[in-house]
Amino acid sequence: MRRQAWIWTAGLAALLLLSAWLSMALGSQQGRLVLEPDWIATVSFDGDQSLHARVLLFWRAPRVVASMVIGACLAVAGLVLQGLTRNPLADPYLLGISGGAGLAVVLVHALPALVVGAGWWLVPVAAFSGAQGAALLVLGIARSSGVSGGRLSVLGLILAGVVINAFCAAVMSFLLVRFDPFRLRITTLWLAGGIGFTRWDQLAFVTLLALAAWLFLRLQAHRLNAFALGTSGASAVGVDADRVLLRAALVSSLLTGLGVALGGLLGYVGLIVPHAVRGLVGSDFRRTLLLTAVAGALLVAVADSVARLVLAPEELPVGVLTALIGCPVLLMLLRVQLRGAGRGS
Amino acid sequence: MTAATVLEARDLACGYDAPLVSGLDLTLSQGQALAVVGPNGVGKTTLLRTLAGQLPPLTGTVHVGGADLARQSHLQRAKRVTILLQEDPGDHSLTVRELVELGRTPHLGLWGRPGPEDLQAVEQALQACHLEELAHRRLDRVSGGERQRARIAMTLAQQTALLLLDEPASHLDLRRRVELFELLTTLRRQRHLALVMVLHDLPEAYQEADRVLVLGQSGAAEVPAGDPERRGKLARAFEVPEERIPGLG
Repeated sequence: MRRQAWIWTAGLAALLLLSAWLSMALGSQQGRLVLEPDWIATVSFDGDQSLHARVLLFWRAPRVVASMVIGACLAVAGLVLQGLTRNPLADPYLLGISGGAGLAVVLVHALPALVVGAGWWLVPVAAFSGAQGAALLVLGIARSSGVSGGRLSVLGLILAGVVINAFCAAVMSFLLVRFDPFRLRITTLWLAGGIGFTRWDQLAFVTLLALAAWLFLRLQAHRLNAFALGTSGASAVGVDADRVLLRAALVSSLLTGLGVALGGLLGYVGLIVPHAVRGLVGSDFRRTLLLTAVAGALLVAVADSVARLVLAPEELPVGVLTALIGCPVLLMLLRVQLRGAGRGS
Repeated sequence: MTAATVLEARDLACGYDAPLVSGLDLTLSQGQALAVVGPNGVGKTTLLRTLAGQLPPLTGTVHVGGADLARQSHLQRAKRVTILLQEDPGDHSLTVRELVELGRTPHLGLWGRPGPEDLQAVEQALQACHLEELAHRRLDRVSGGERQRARIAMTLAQQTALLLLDEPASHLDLRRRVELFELLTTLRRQRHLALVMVLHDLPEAYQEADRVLVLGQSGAAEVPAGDPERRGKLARAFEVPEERIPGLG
């Protein structure tokens, strides 16, 4: 299984590189797709001011990197949340954690003077804070609705997510109606999963934080595995369950916040990818963490390229595509879970 | 040669807000098995969790292998004592081998990669519990008895000197119970494991353990098999008439 995981990871990483190259090389002219490999071959990183250099370095390249970082962040956040709650439906979007992050970012957008005064780093920090608040709320509500055998109930989690999402959506709508048309368009596009407004400095900040978060989780992987025994079982094999649970929940909120800061409310990535990865290589975090990050990066990178090119010169928000894939997966998982719960009762 | 002391509890009181068990002194040596019996809600599982260091004692101390559990980290404790609770909220999509490997968690290094010693401990645990053939089978594809053997193999892979089992034979039919207790007896003899088992069946407790600790509303006391007052003491602990106590062999 371990070897299988490496083979899958290497294969998907190769596909990821290929998709990154294609995303950089593919463009559209008058509604037609055009492949421009010469652009990549001839671009100079040393002050090249040509149009194609600027398109590549300040438009396509940050967008490709951002889509990969977003995909990896959201997929790994979903994987960890599902492991901690022992619930395969625990996706940061469905649980309202992305909603909390989105609300915090809209609040920041509502006060543009704040960003100008504080700097670009305010958006990721706000997104993380919003995600953190929503995660604590949703886990608290779900916990109060019942824990069975160390497992949060499916319905409790989903309903808590519905409540948090509804609240965040209401406050966001209230704020958005007061936005001027330009800010409204930018913000609603971003909310729907528009990855087109990324700056290199913001991207570097988010990527470094995401790498640190991933490394932390990788060092906790064998302890996270022990949660398959429930919290008492994890404690019996030497895991300080409460501490690991809290830290891992905090780090998955951080990853969600980072993903939302760059790509808005991109749904279902944290649901589809971990589910597929577990189907391929099992549930051992030591095998799944890297593969999930690579697979998440690949999914969003491909989805973003399709979203950019399919209706060119218009753009489709990436969230529309991930929702189209994610909804049937959610329905299938929900059916399996509720059938299982029905049998258990 | 006398066997080394594995477990030593002194003036132990355990419970949540109010003590359920108090004033308990207990010593257990290598290879010994102690059965804990008593009515529901009297604090048997609470006692077991306190002996495992999962709950802090209200008063008194618990030493395992000479170390005070209250001063040990989670990791240090898990290298000395392990507990198998009755409830099995485990993930049944794991294979038998994956479950047994989880027993090595306290021994893994920074990156959590198993070394040769870990792999050997897992193989030995699988062999001891006769699970080699089932190692790649998922837990939801094996019988309840086989799953219980896999859980015990996980605790063996942890390589502790003291094993605490909460109703290990519940939900097993007679044949599986016999197999399970034979396995535990073999492990005690071959690996010098000390066992504390919460059991509900009184004849089984006297048959499978060297000593029996009876918990009742009036306190905790060992009731040896040769005690002429045994039937009366058990009847008082369970608050039933003496004639309702089953034959104890």
